[in-house]
Amino acid sequence: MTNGHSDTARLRIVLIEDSLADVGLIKEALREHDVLADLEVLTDGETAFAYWDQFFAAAKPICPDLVLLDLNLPKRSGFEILRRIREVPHCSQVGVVMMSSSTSARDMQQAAALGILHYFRKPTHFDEFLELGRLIKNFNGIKNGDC
Amino acid sequence: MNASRPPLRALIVEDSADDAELMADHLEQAGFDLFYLRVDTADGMTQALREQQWDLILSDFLMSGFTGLEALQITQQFELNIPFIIVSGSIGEDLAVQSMRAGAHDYLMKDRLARLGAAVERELKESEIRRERKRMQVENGRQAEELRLRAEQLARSNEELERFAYLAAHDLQEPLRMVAAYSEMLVKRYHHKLDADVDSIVGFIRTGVDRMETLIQGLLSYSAILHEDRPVLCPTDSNAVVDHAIAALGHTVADTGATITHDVLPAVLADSAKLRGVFEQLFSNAMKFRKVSTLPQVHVGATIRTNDILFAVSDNGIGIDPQYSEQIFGLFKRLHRDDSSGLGMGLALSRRVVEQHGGRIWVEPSPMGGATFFFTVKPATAPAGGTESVAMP
Repeated sequence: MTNGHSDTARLRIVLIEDSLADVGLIKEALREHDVLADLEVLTDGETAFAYWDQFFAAAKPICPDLVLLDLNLPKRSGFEILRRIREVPHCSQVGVVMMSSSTSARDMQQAAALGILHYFRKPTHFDEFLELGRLIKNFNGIKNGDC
Repeated sequence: MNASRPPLRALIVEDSADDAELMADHLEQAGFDLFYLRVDTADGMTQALREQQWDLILSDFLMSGFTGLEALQITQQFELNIPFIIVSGSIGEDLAVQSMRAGAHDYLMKDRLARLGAAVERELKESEIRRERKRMQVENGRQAEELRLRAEQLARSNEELERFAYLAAHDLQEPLRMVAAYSEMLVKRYHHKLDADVDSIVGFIRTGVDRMETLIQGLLSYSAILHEDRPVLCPTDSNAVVDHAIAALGHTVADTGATITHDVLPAVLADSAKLRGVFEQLFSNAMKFRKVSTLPQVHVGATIRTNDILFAVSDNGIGIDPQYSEQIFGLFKRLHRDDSSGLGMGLALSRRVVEQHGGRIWVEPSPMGGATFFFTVKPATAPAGGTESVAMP
């Protein structure tokens, strides 16, 4: 995980998700597991795609610590955005958690081929959804509110 | 002769005006209301055929500068379905046969013109029949084409429907997830402020969500069978397939005290995992719908038939009322309301798999007292042409 700015305990997370209900659940999951995060929320594929333009221009851009990426987005798919992330000159190795309600093996394989930390299948049980918070906390053992 | 019929339009190919007149006389004597034109060259004939419609062509065999065979060729170029009769003073047997081979409908000697009326009458009828037959062929071809188009449309709309079901099911998941997650979040967050009733209310929401989720998963797996998951057909030992299916159901077999037996079964052309799924489904149904206080018994037999293998899975269970024998293969069909364990998809999926194997599945009352499910698959060794003949649609 890229981590050039450890002057703060807060995680810089880019959340790409068009469903506000899911954004709510994700925030709840972070809160549940005391993950301190600055959340930048991008709610459609086009905006998210354009977001990575800055990593072409900036000489020393500040990389996010983690990207939470929904697979099904309006205008651009999660896969398109993931490919975009991997091709920019800066921050291309940022950790990505792909999120989807799809159990399609093809989707999972495709995501794995592009390099992701985790494929999070959005569950219907609230408690299971909260596990996303634990997952994120474990990816960033030192960067949470407990320490 | 019927006087009310329209005049007979005859084109007479003849270099002798007298002979032509003589033929006309005979036809009129025979009762025809005749209109005729005489030509004796290729150009004259072509022009006459081009300018108007004819019912009949009478042609001399040998003329100065033109022959009956040439006249026949010209007639054929126009693709006219009208009688062409050679009327000649000197035609021999050979030439007569030759001209009939070439397509003339009849021939007649000029010294036998008394027969002309009857010959024309007969040939007009014949050509009417030929026209009718041709019209029928065209009509049949048109109908076959229409049928083919309809079948194509039907297949396309079926595919669209299935695709629609897949997409609908897929898209239904999202809002469902929200209902579930947020109702639980409500309880979790406001638990201390809420009445105890709330748990049971949310419990009902959860039950509904779970049920709906199961249905959606069922729909998705049903359409996955259609779209992604085509069977790979290989020569397969069906004894092993049945044994594996029994082993996979080990717990249920032990719990219910069931006995599942099979004859020595033939090799088939199948996707072994999918075929096993079908047997598992049938076994598991047999055990689920057993008679009270009777240990379930299931037996698998097979008959080698001319074009396929017929499997029979018989049980001693509660059986299936014949009026439901088709319905049970439909999506989400459950005959027993209190059966919450199943999706009501098992037999629909089984039918799909069997159809993808090029076979059929149906149910009949079993001699063992319950139901016998029959299904067909192709034998491992195709009669001729090898395995290519069972390529999936």
